[in-house]
Parts: sequence; C-alpha cells; structure tokens
Amino acid sequence: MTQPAFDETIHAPIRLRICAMLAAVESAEFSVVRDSIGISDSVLSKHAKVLQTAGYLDLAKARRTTWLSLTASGRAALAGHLAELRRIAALAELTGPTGPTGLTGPEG
Amino acid sequence: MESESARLALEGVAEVRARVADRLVSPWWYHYGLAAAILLAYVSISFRFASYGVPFLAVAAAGLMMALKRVTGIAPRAPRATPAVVAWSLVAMALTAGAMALEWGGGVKGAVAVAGVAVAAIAVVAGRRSDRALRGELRDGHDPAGL
Repeated sequence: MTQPAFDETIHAPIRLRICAMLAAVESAEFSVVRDSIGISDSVLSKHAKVLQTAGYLDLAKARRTTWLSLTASGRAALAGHLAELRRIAALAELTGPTGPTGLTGPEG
Repeated sequence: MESESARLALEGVAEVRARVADRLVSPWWYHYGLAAAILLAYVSISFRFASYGVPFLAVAAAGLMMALKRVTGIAPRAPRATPAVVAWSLVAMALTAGAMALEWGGGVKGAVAVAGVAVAAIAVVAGRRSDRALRGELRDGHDPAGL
C-alpha cells in the first residue's frame, strides 16, 4: 500500500500530467508526450529538466528522437502524490460542504 | 491544499491516462507477425531445423517490438497477466507438451507443427486481451501499482 505523500515537484499541473502519462507506459517519445499533453516543445523541455534534476525522469537519446521514462523513484513519488490527492479528495467527499456530521451548526 | 484543486488534479490525471489508452492500440501486424514467428518456430522444431527457427523467433519478437515503438512512439509496459491471459498461456503450454510427447514419444510426425497453429492463434487472442486489459486499467484508474 502506497503511503500518501505530497510532492511539490510533481504537483505542478504540467509535471503531474507528464508523470501520469509516463507512468502508463515503459517510455514514450518526446513528441508523443508533447502532443498527448498539448504543450510546446520548450514547455515540455523545461518541465522535463525539472523532473530529471529531481531524479524522477530519464531522458534517452536514440538517433534523432528523445525518449522519456519515469525512474523508479519517480514512480514511487507519483504513487505517493496520487495517494495524497485521493486522500484529500475523499476527505472532502466524506465531510461534505456542511462538515463531518452534516450539521450546519446552531441555528438562529 | 484544497480538496477542489486535488479533485481537479486527479481529473487531469484521468484525462491524460485516457489519452494514453487511446494510443495503446497495437497495429494489426504486431500480433499477427508474432504469431507467424511462433508458428515458424514450431514448424522448425517439428521438421528439424530448430537451429534456424527458434533464433528467428527471438529476432522477430525483438524486431516487432522495435517497429511498434517506432510507429507508435510508445514502449508499452509488460503485458498484463489477466486470468484469461494466464489461462490461455497454460493451454498453450499444455498443447506444446502434449504435441512434443506425441511427436517424440509416439512417433506422430508434424504434431508440434500442428500445435504451433493453435499456439499462434492463442498468441493473437492473448495479446489482444492483454492490450485491452491495459487500456481498461488506464481508463478505469485501477492500476496495481497505485499509479
């Protein structure tokens, strides 16, 4: 069972999408990641660099293409971050807009 | 962190996973190519040229995977061992063992080659089921690794 753990590096929306995409495959070509997420080359390069520096992403050059893959620590960090997001979302559903008991507090 | 932004982030993740699932469709030639290589390997065992047929299967499998990566831009994760895929694999192994016993123990010529036809067909069915299971996992968010 993955322990929920908020990860500041992964949480940025574009980086979360990059990680979510790469978690679903072994590796993916740069242009496929770019098109699937709908961002430009430069934006993907910038966020890939941040993830690579954090040790979450591997970049492999093969001829004229670049392949991206999540590292083991990247997968672990993503699993922890997603578990934390699910925990927060579930907590909100449990308590609802009126609090854990469903009461709105004393009237009057 | 607010629950609303957590929910939106999870929705974004689900959307990306659905897009990847749409892309994870093996071209028709992938499973059929693998099946043809398997059939050739079985025929080569049956007709005593296994020293060519079996290495060809290994080279063909690696070549097909490389071609798949090049065409789709995605290296898929390992095949999903769903109960149906495991069951089909066990049937293939039982057929192979039975055919080998028949050919080498009972002297029935070509038994392994005939089994190869069935195993090749199983490879196509199991490969497609495995693809479908992987796509379903991505769309439903039921990833065994919690991703």
